[in-house]
Amino acid sequence: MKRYFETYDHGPLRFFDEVFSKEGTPRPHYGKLLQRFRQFSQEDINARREIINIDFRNQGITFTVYGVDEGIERIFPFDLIPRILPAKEWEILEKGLLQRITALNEFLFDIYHTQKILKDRVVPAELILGSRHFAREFVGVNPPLGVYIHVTGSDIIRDGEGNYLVLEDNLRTPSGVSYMLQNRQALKRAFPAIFGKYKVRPIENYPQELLRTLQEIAPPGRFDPNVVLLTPGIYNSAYFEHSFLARQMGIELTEGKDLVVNNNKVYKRTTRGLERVDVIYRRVDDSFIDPLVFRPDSRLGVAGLINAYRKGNVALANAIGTGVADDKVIYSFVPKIIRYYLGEDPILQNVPTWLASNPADLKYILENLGSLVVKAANESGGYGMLVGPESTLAEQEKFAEMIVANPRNYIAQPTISLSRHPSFINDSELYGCHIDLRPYVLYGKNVTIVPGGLTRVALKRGSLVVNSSQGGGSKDTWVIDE
Amino acid sequence: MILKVEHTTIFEYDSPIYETATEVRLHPDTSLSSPQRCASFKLQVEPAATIFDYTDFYGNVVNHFNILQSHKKVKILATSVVDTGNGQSVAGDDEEILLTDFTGESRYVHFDQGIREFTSMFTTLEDKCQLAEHICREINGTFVYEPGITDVHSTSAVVMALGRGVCQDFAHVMLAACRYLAIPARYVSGYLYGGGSTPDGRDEASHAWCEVYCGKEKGWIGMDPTHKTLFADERYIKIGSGRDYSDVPPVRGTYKGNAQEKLGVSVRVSAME
Amino acid sequence: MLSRVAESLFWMSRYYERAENTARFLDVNFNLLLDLNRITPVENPNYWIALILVTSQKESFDELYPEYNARTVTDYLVFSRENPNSITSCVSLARENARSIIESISSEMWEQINHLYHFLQGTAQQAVHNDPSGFYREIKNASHLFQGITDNTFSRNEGWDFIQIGKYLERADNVARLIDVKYHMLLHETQGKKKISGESDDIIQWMAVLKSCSALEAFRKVYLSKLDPENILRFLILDRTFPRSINFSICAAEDALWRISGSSRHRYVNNADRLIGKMESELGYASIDEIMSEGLHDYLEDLEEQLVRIGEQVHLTYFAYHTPEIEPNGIEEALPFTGVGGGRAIWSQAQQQQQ
Repeated sequence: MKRYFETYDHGPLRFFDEVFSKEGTPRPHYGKLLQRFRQFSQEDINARREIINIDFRNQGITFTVYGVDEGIERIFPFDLIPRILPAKEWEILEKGLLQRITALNEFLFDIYHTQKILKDRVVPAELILGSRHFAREFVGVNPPLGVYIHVTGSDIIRDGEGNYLVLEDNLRTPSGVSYMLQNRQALKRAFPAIFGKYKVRPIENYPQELLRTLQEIAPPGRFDPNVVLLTPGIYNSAYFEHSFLARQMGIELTEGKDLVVNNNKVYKRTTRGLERVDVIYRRVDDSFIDPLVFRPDSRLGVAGLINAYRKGNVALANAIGTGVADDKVIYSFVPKIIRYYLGEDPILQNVPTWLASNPADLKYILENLGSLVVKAANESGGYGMLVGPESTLAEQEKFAEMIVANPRNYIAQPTISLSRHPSFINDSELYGCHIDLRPYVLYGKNVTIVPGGLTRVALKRGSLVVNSSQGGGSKDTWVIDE
Repeated sequence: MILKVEHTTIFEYDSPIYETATEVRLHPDTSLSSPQRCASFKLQVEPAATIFDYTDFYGNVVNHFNILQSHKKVKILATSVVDTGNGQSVAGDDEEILLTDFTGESRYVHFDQGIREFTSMFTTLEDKCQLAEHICREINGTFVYEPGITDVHSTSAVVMALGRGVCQDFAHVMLAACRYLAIPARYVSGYLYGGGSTPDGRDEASHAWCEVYCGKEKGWIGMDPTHKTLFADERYIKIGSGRDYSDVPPVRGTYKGNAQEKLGVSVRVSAME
Repeated sequence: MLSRVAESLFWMSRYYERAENTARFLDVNFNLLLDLNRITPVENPNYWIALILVTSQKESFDELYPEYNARTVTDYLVFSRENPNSITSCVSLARENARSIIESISSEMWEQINHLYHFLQGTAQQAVHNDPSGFYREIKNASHLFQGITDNTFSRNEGWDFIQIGKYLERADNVARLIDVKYHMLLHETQGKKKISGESDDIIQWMAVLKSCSALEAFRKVYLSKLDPENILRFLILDRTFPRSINFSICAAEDALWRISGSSRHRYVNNADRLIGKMESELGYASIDEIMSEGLHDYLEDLEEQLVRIGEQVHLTYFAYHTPEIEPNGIEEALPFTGVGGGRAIWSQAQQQQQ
């Protein structure tokens, strides 16, 4: 009988394999895991996968794929082999994220107040004023505790040498944390014995930590604040996550039509009349959140919400206008931003980035479209992206036109080298699929980072796209104390 | 001059609507650099509502209110008394960063082919103020004033193509031309006394023109492409300014319910001396 | 509780009940036609029109189908997406409502709704024609199972009361319609006579009505074999103990409404409570002789209207998506249906061009 990992190919060597060294020997922290998996038959694995699939489907752990008429509900694929991070590597990540989030929050405060960094010309003013996420409506407004980014989910990748790099800072409404929690539960159920062999740091307290963070930003004087989660509704791709988090935190899941603003205060409509709302964990984008101020055609928002927020009568998490700092162009300035506000060298490096708005960079981008990854500055979820090596000449030409027409909106990066991790594809075969990592950072009175995060995995041979909308799945992620 | 403005806006609905939420930008400009002085401002709303205010990114005073219960009519009456100046700001104290906003495209101001051709006729002068005046005169001379052709959401590109429109449209075209030639320029919402705001003397709407940044010394100079006099003077009352109309709409709001809406506006500007 | 959540619970329950009742009508009609086979062919359109009248969309049916027969009527009432009251539409709507409040119901309830939805999606029309009773039994069982799961997994809070109100208002309405249509048909058939007759064929039809309410056995226990029309009507309208009678349904809805508001027999808090209390009292003191002398049809029609008004008042008091206490009383002044997908438009005020 064939044993798992007997024929696993850990090359090509330009990618970092999480489990095996370049020489093909297992990394020590994966030892016990490999040992156990080698004893499994395919029937063992199938039986465990079946348990998990039934569980996921019954709980409705699905996401919605856009671009189809009504939206298709799919189960988010879960890979059975966990990813393991030794504590000493995690500590570097933790420090790096803390530094980065602190600097980005200072940046946002500055941009929305004195704009010192623009006056000092560290970041070009036209990049900020030209960003469609810069909320002029919000300049001079003081968010509670001075915090803008209460929940972030940075995307972290590893280069060929295994160095951790930040690929994106998701400062608006990052999703996926429900999968992190569900994956842990599923893995514990499917492989209790392996789980028990490691000292895995717990993550189950995330909902409580999130709720605490939300309660901390309540308007002053509001004892026992009323916190709600604002969702765009059942047709949103992350609706499952919204209802899951609301249930886990024991708060109400509201839609825009459940809320109403009267005299600068926010209320929810209940069967007993209007009840005051103090904190809104909103999963609705800025542009849809208040039709009075932003997109007037939005049916998802609450008219007058921004005015209530400006007066300090309600808190929003995240704050308005945070997207200006996770714009892919601003991203390239983050190392400078860290030095400017903290006077420190960045602990986590960026991926090299060329800005199409910079003439020299533009030339380089256009000449190397076939080897670069081009991204629209303001899109997320893998939309509006050209992966050079996988593209046709026609696609490259189309992108070249789009870039020249609107250089501010594009950046390019080298084809990113996502690390690889053995994962099941086609149900039984182990293949080194590319992965990234999205740790979740909470920022209230303090910064809290739940150990690990969501490991996303591209479950197609050779694919570098891990987004759920493009065929990605996820893994449980363990931070272990040795 | 001391001028009194009565600006009435009435929304009528054929069946009840509810949860009206409205922001109004009707308060005359009170900034320090403004030549005018606002002696009084009163805002009345029916049905009764509590009125709040804040100052927006461009320094405009915004009043806002909401009405929860169902209603079939909303009446907004703004009455102000203003001691006007000569239309020219006291000094240009604006920061460079802010000027960035007034040099690029915006929602209604586009650098389309039409603008590129239109601006090619102007030789680039050293003096931006003079150049802006040329643009202003050209628009006033060649564009046809004709209400009903364009609407409140027409862009500069549409107006360029039509060659006609109203003051809001002319202002947008002037902004596009100035900004394309790298002259910072902003949209001004306000009123004009005497002869009405339109050339043939009607008074059914507020007025709009431009301000052009002429350097730190001179500051912002008001220019009006709709009227032959070209420069804003003591007959002009400024409410506020922004990148284009969308930053300073006099009344903007939302409501819920299913009804046909009818909007009626009347503006009366009278001299008090 | 959020108004939207209460409303979705109400409609989830109401649509589920409606699907069950439609299945009952169809099931009994098939059985009835088999019983009457010796005097009238199964395809007799009169018996199929009646079903359309009960669910009252004759015009919309006529637009879609050329004639009334087993196939077209089954298709319209079971599968048609054009018919908002078809079993498929009702179950889809029940599921949509449930989905929008998935965090407020038990996962067992959600699984059961989901199960029925997928069962319907996977059912071919031919399968229903081959074995109608099997199919309808499946629907009825699914509904009973759902109610049982709800009883055993849903906390006895306000939400539970809204589920009860939805279920019982719908049931009372459906039973009233069923009686009304049958009565109408029987009157029509015994031309000339003002009264409904107790002839044997008619009795078979009245038995069918009882059966469609699962009431035949319960009826026999009360009235033994006195199967005359007045006893049957007395049982279906006025009986206080049988859970599918109109009176029982009204009492159950009243209990739920009063639990929510704290109203009592001596004091009502809102209009919904007042109307349901009034209806309950009237039913409590009504006699079948009075009803018959007043005219059964008029009586039932009035009852259906009262049910509509109660539904409106429940909507205004608890769900209305604006603030009820400051609304005018006239229902016509207000507000659009607000169920899932209902119109909740936000409009921008017109803006005037600056000239």
